[in-house]
Amino acid sequence: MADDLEDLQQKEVELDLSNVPEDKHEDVKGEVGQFIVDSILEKLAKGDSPVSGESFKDLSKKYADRYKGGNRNPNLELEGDLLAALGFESSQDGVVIGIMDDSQRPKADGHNHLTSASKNATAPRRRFIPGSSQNFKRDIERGIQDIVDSFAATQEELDLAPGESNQDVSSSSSRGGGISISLNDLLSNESIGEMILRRIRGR
Amino acid sequence: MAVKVKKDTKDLENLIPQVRKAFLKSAEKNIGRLIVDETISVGLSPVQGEGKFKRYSESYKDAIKAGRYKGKSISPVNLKLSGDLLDSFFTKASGNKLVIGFKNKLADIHTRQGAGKSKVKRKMLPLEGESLKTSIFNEIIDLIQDEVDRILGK
Repeated sequence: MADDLEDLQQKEVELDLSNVPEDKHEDVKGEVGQFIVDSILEKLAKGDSPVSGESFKDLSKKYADRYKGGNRNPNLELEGDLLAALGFESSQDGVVIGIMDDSQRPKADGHNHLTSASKNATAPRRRFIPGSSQNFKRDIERGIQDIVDSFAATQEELDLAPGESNQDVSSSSSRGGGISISLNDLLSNESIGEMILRRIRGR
Repeated sequence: MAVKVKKDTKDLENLIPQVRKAFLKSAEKNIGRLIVDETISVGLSPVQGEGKFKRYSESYKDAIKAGRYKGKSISPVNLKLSGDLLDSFFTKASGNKLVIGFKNKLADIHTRQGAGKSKVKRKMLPLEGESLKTSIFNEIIDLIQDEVDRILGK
């Protein structure tokens, strides 16, 4: 299974959902999947690897001058086809993250060096999908656990942590043609007061 | 300056406007960094579930490659040509609400109406029923919490 996934340029993230109500399992998997995809894209945009223990070498000056207007940030993006193929799907035990378009797998492997076919690759290894024995970087793993925990939390626990992830957003167009949103209640006396009290109580 | 807090309502009532004022003083810069610099400018939408902005059309990419838009590259798709659109970012308080927006009318075109012949949408802010990426929203909460901690001397 692991080798198959490496061939596909994918990684399964197993989730312990034993404390999450069964009717919420697919919701957790969906939120975790989207979070991991977003996190990979954020790391890559900064030229950083999302994989624990991995980092990216800057683009060569020659390549950057030729294709990237001199920008040596290794964001794995030239025309955007590769990263557009990044996605996730729900699995029995969690979520599978990775390249979902067959045509982009060889290119992905050229960066990830996950298969034997990429052993002799000339391009430097810039791994953005973890191998079977690897994990995502700690901040991503922590974010995954936070999402699972938030679904496992009781209503009482949620009431003690106001604000986080409970967005109340309204959107509007402005007269001049722009656009704005209101984050409602974010600055209310109740919301700020609760933050102050939590700190005073040492939480 | 750190403030010693007694657990009574009066103190709390005094502290709340201090926190609000301190947060708002640097909100535009800090939230602009989160939404514009670290998200839109690198080709990502700040809207939950949107991921990367859709790629440019082939005809637009050809025009960029031909040098018709000076300094523009085909990736990342960062909604930046003159810079006016991203520079129009603003924040303001409206009662209990924090308002975040872009004054430039292109923001509405990219987000709501769709741009170009294919009317492709690249959402710069959430529409009704949508939300900011959780990571961005939580960082905004953290900014307020930082002001709470600073004022409490924690």
